[in-house]
Amino acid sequence: MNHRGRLGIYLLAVLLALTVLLPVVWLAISSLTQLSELLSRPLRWLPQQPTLERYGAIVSGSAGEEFRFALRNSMAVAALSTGVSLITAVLAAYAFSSFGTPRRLNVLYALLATYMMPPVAIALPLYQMLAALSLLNTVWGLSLVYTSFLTPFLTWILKGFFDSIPRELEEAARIDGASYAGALRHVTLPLSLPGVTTASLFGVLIAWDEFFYALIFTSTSQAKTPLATRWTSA
Amino acid sequence: MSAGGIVAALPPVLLAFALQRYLIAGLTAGAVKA
Repeated sequence: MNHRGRLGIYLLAVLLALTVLLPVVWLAISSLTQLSELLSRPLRWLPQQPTLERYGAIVSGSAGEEFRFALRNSMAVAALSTGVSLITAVLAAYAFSSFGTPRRLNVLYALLATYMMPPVAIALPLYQMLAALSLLNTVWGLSLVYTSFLTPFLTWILKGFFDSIPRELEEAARIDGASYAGALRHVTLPLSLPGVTTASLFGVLIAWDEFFYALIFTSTSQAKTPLATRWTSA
Repeated sequence: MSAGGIVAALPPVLLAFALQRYLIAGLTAGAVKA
């Protein structure tokens, strides 16, 4: 590519990066600015007297108590649901990628169908089930719900990665006496480590950002972080 | 409020940085190709 073309691409890339990052930068700036300054006109890019007072309130203040609690809950839910569905999905994806008749793919499409179900459609039944199990307002209940839609998603992603690993490597391990589990553990899994990492990051992100179910299945006192940001003035 | 937003956004970002090495390999290998 000639110089001018490359320059154009870089300019476009910078423009795109600015568009994506500017709201985040503004969020950071406004978190450091005094309220009176934020409301004054004309608006300034940089605060005259930056303050860390609100971060202090989150870290140590009594007003931040609820927020810290919500943060811990969010971490627990994200870790628990991703951990459980990752284990299930690795085993399922390995099976889908390696064994059985071509018809096993029908099961895979059935999994995809459950993932396509709009959340609104199953919110009410899920609520009733959680209520019957007295799991409303608990980390366990929310993790269970998240696991139910993370598992099919992660299975799909991981199957793609497992498919890209040559069958011969695994067959070699089998000939050398490894069991299927051993071949998965010592050959397939290490080779697809980037895939497993990507899948787990997607899982954590989905569980962390999820808002709708968290809004419905938890009340304010036990809320996840996206909700807590609404409640705290900090 | 915005301080809360920043703190809530931190964990995923930190995780992404920590896993950066694998993440690029994983994403470029093509996550969804059924």
